[in-house]
Amino acid sequence: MKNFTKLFSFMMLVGLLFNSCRNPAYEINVLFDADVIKYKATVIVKGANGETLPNLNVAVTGTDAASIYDFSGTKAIPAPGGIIAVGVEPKAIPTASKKINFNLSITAPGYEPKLIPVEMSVNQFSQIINVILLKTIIPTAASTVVVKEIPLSPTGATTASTSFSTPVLGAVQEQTTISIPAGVQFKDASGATLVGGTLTAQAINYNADDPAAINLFPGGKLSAPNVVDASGNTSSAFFLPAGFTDIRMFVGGSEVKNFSTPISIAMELNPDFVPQSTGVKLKGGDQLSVYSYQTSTGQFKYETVGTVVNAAGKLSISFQTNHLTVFIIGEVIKTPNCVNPIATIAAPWLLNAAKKIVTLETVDNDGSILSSYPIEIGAGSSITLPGLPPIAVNYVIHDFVAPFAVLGGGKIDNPCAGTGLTITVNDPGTPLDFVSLLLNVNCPGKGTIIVPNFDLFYKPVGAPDSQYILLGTAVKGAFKTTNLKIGSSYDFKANWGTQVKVVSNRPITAADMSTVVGDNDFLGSKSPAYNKMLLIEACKGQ
Amino acid sequence: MKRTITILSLGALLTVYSQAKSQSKSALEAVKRSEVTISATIATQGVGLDLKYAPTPVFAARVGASILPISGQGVYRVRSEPTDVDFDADFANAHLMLDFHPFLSEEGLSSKVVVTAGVGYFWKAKGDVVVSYRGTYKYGDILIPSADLGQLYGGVKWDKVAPYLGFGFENVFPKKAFNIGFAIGAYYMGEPKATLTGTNYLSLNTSNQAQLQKNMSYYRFLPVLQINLNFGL
Repeated sequence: MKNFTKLFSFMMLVGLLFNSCRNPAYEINVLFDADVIKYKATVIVKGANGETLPNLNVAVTGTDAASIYDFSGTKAIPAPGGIIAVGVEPKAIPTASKKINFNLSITAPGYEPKLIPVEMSVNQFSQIINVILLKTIIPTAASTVVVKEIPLSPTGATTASTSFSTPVLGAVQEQTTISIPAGVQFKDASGATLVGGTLTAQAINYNADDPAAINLFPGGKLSAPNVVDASGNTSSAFFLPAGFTDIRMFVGGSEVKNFSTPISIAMELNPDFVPQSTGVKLKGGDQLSVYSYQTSTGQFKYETVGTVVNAAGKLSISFQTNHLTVFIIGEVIKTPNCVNPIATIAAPWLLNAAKKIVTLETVDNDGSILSSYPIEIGAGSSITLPGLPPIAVNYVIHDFVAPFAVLGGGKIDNPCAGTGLTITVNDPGTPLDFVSLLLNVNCPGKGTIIVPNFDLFYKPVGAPDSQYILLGTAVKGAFKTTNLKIGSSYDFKANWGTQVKVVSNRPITAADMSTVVGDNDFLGSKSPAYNKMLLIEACKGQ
Repeated sequence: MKRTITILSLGALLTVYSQAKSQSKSALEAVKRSEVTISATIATQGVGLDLKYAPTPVFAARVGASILPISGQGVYRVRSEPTDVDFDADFANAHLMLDFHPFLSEEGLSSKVVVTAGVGYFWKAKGDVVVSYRGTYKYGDILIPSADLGQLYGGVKWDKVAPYLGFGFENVFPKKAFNIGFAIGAYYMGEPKATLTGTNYLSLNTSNQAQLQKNMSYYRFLPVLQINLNFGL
């Protein structure tokens, strides 16, 4: 028995030494993929003079509004610094047979409101939309403004015939003239007659020939999903405007929508406009359609057709209306069966999965710009080209940053045929640095988490906030770019929901700027206490 | 360290074997016994059958096989949310064992002690686990139900050849056609290879594979607690 005791003790000892226990799940933190929103639009809203707009109100309307969330997952859509990032919830993503359509209603105090239609097609995972808001009574290089105070009778009627025009200013050589007869009463949206001592009328006339006017066009682009034609049918369409003007009137602070009797509007038109129907410059006797646009609904509607009059070299169309809105004169091409072309980007110089933002500009056969918007490209990436007309267009790729070098170009014979094409984007020529960033976050007591996707902006050190440029979207905390130079410093800004994190004067010291943020890791060199607070807040619910 | 312990273990076996050799063999061999025994085994490594040949009272050789197909379910908590865990372990081996009876000359329980060393060939030595998050994942105001979250798949595989060391209690000379024996020991399975993958929103958990591998590296032994139902032939 004594020998057995020795043997048993020895065996137990050996067993304990070899087979110490550990929970198989020890220090395993289950990671949930934060890449929840796959389809996303980044909307960069600025004032017409490039100013940042800090106090935006954003609402989502339209067919698929219920499926649209902020990029951080909240139903409320914040717009810190004028940046809106929205996406589609996972269960409602677009399919080959179902596009996602919604509108972003954007308002800011003192600015003209805007309703931006957004369409997301299958595999169109990311899009960047520039939106320009126009300060109501301030002219720009592409627009002029007139404000007129007109006395009213006690019944709210004009006491005399009145006519006023937008001014000629700079490159805006066309005018819009509004003529109001005597005895006209003004009604609000409900049809009630407005009574007050004075009618305040304002008109903004746009130079349709100015490339900047594209962003000022209703909806922010020339393509529109909701256009009622002369037959009353609704479909998508593409506008080729020869002129457009925005007329608003107020009585006692209430906005005028209708009149008791029609008023007259005469719009001078772009003399260089070339109708697709004739192929020659606009001339007297040509006919163009007049459409109206309601900002509140985003709907364009056929009003009438007008005949061009040539008066001392000025081309114009006059028409009457009994309601107020934005008026557009030009050609309208219906696009209900348009299938967006998908381009494959040939840019072999974009090594190591680096991304770059460039501007894609399309022009028609007479050189008029049809669209201009930024796209994020990578070598071999696919880009959907939405909102083009069914006419041959040329495209030009520009660098997104100064000096905005031309990096490529070509022609698309029929942009509505859905034909695939290859867009070659050339090396900008300057030496490129491939800078990568991998941000890991170590949550206190929870271990590493996957960072939700976020947009990253940058600007030269000390430059005003209005100069922030979108660097791209960090996906799962990872990001690669050619826009940064090793050895240079930048100011960075990251948006996440309502929060904005700014890192000023951050030097790029190496090609790999990966870091781990955490309580016992990097918490920043300038405000670690504040960053720790952000970290703890961000880690809640993870 | 492990090599030292292994050498010590072998030394201990030689010691007990040399003690056994000094016993009076004549008295033992005078008793009628079964040289061939068939055993049904019920053990932590499964159920099986062994065929044992004992040319001498002190020494015997056994060959056999055992299988262990088990599965089950459990509910654990991950991030304060209930998580379903389905596991499936599959062990099957053929083995060759050498039994020594070192204390035959002693009285009582010591005389029944048997020390066993051998080797097993595991044609199955793996465990799989499927983890399903039962709760709803919230991303802001977006709710992702468990059905869409995906699953975690963990797998562990051990070496096919594993040495065995153990001891037990057994009558050397079954006077009846049937008796019962007990054994305790362990197979040294080596460091297992662990894999961890996920689907859908759990697909990034491949990065946890290294930690799982580290955790499972502690599981190198397959403990054996065994009951032998012996039939003398």
